[in-house]
Amino acid sequence: MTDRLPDGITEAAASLRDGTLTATELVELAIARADAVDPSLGAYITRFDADARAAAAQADRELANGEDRGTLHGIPIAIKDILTTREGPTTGQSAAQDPDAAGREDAVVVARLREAGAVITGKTTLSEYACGFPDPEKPFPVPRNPWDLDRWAGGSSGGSASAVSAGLVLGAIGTDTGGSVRIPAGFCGVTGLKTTWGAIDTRGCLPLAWSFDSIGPIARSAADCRIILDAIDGSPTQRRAETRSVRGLRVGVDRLDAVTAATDPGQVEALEQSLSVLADAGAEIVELPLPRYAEIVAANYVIMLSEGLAYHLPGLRERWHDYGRSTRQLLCGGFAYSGADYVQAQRIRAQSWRDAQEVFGAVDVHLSPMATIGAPTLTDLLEGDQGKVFGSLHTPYWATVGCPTVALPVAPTADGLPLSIQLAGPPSADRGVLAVASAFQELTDFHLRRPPL
Amino acid sequence: MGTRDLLDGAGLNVPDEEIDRIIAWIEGSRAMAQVLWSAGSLPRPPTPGRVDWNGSSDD
Repeated sequence: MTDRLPDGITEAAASLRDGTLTATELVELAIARADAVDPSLGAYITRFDADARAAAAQADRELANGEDRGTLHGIPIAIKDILTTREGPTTGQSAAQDPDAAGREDAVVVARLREAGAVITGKTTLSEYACGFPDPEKPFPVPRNPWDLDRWAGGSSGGSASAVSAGLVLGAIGTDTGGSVRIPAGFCGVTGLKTTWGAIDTRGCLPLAWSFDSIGPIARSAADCRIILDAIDGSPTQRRAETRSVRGLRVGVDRLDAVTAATDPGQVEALEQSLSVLADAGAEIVELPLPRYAEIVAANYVIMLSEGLAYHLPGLRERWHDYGRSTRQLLCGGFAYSGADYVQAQRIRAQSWRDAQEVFGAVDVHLSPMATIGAPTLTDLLEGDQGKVFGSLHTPYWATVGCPTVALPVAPTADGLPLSIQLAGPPSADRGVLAVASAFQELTDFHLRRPPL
Repeated sequence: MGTRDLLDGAGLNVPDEEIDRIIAWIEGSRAMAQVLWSAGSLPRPPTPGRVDWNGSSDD
């Protein structure tokens, strides 16, 4: 037996079936890896070692009896601590959250993962309530980046992405309201899917903004994300495998260089190299600026902060100091907006759906940078120019539109930090977007690189 | 109504050492709302009785 988890879910599933690994051995590898690195990484808030061992033993018994639940059977998966699980409390990484308030029933996606045979290893760290920054003064681990522990893992699903990147698990669940799956996936060098808004049942998930909240998978590859998606989307029938040749694919591109606050010197080259990979494989690259970019991004902030404040105002009244310093400030941003502002933002959101119809009438997928910088240091994030960091992130646009969007690693910075692009597709084409991302990953190896940790 | 009054009216008891930073953040956040109104790229609002979020009157 090796001392690390296999490269991905597909490889692990094959090992479970050819007898070279058991689910029990897989979970022991996951636990040993977490013991070794998580004290410095900060990926977990709560670990369910005993329950995970029991679940793995059950998975082994079922497989031995010929009961095969599918590719996720016996696979270690971690859950962002904003979703409920039966094993333990849900904190939202907030001292303001009564840990038992959300209950001990599985969130819908967690129940679906179990039904598919996944082994739930624990709950991962996040930005408080999916919106704040890490707060070292609060009694929770700070999610750090496995490529450089002085850097941020990204947010809000930072622990989920760092756990996958560092090999603590083979997949994880995150949530995305303005980029919270794609940002940490990109900063940690793994793959993450923002699912079509409304496609995945959010029951059991603490809300940030109802208009945008979505639940999605984070894994090493797009192919692994697809396996998790098949489990969590509640499809009553087994989905057939979907592949997509790059040849003949129409890829729209917007470099967003006119609206970016900072750009790593390697990012331009990384993006052009990605386009060359696709073009060399037969894709047609179409220059296609994203319509109404500034308004649609602004709509994301206005709606998210307004809805976030509406949800948290009672908590802020009663437990101001229990919220993290950055979280309470961020949420108070909702006071900046009037009812008319909120309605105008929703009108723009609705118009963006029509814009997307035009975009995806012209191209099959749209490519843009996820971020134009690598992960910032925690010092820069907490004490530096946050506007520069957030002005370099391009995730809010597709969160507002609601289309499926996958972030996937491309060539790194000169310092070796992961960089990422995002591929968006039309509503409900989650599998199609992942199929294109898989085709890209067949041609590249950035998703296979491992952090030095 | 000033921003401080807005916070007080919402029942928030923001400590003195934080109030300037919170007010500056709220006032800075208004720039996003200005983007929504300044662009002028949406269709005109619908006529009464034909309300639709995006302002078109044909559906």
